[in-house]
Amino acid sequence: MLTPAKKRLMRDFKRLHHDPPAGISGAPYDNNIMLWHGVIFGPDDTPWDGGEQILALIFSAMMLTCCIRCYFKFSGTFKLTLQFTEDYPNKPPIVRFISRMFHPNIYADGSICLDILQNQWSPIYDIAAILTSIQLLFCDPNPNPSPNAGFPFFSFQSMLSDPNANSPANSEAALLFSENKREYNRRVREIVEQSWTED
Amino acid sequence: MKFGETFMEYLHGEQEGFLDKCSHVEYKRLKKVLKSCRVCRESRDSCPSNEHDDDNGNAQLHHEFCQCEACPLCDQMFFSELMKEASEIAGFFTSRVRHILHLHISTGMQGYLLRFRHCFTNDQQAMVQEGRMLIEYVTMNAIAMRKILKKYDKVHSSVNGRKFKSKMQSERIELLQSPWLIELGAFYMNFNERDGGESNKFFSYDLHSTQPVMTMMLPDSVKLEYNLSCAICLELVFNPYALCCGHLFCKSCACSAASVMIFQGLKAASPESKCPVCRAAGVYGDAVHMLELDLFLKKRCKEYWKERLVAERAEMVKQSKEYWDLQTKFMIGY
Repeated sequence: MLTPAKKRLMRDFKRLHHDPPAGISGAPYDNNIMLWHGVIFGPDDTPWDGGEQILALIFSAMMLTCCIRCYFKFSGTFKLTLQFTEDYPNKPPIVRFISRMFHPNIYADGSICLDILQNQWSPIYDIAAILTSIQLLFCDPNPNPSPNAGFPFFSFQSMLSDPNANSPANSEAALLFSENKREYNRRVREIVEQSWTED
Repeated sequence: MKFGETFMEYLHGEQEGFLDKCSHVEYKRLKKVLKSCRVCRESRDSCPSNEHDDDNGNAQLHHEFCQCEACPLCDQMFFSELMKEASEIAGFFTSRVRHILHLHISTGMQGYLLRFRHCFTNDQQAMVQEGRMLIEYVTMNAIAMRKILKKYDKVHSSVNGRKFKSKMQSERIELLQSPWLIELGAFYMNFNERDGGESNKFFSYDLHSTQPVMTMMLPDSVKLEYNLSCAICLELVFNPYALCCGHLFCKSCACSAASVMIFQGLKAASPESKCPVCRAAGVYGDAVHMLELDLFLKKRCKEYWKERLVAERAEMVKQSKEYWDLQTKFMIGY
């Protein structure tokens, strides 16, 4: 018999495919609706989008050789897993990145330091909301977020879109983010390029 | 026709006898207060807007000089009076709707006696009539309140009216967000179906779309939609409860969110438990059991309702078994 958690996950799946948010995707693993894999694409106009890559294509046709420089936009593609329990949606899933990450709020083992996955969880959040919130972590970081301004309506978005470098999960990333933005962006781009070659 | 005239017509219309018993928004008087707001008139006179012929220039200057964010003359009587009126209207509306629904859904001996009484008196029709009056009463007053607050903001170039509306919502006296209005709508539709009552000009519904809704038609063809899906299980609400903040959930979903067993009920929830949607605390204790809405959904979604009933009963049995096992172990001491 379908448990409430499984029923709800099926609803989430239906919703996610009926109205998919931009830059995220997710689906359950075969024969196990309690374990999902998700993909988050790096948001545009951030170090996570990979920038424009130049690809030189050389065509040789009818004795004429011409070189065409093509600009392709490659976003970083970051894979993660979501492990649900029978307590869902009353308890949040355990979310982990499989891809290597370099971010102030992501631990070395891929765990994510995010309020809605801990003390600010609410049963109304679905998988789309979780993945969108994680994607917002990549955007426009702010090392000194104001504490809970306008909770619950406004802090949610601003806390997600700004890595909190005050209580970092990755101290090196937090330090670079606060003191050497250029190096931070370079390291992020490195991670983005790695994400294209990962299995 | 202007709303002021429509409202006065409503107050002195066929329902005058009914309206004598209850309070309503003093629309005309509050509008006069705004008109005679001397502070604003003085600041308006002091605007050097006459010096410019250009319309845009005038508007801009007026906007710069006449932004009296608050007006002590108006505020003193305006907001306190509106708040008093709103809470009186909400109180009267709630008590009357409760009374009507109690008569309609009463069970056991009381229900038997009422049905026996219906053989001799036609108070079913009177109930529907009062229901219709209450719907008109609450919608007209809600619109009057919204109009007067909008007018206040326009006169004072402020956002105090909007803030007051938010305050009304937080104090749970926002008339059109009342769960009792949904209950009344469900009663109306249940009665129309069962007893072949008058055609329903107020409420309609669509339960089979992705977002099941009940729609309420207001004057001037304004539609108000009430979402009938539970924000936790994302399905059509079953055995619905409205928390004090007005958000609607299935009983089992609300119980699990408040970390209480289904058989214990929402009364057992701790005062710190928060609404999953708005995070308001202490909203479970006085949650409203939407019996009329449940009856309405039971009639229209028979299969779904049966399926949910079986699932909830199974869950309840499982929970009570676990609970009493724990109690027994605790008593025995192992």
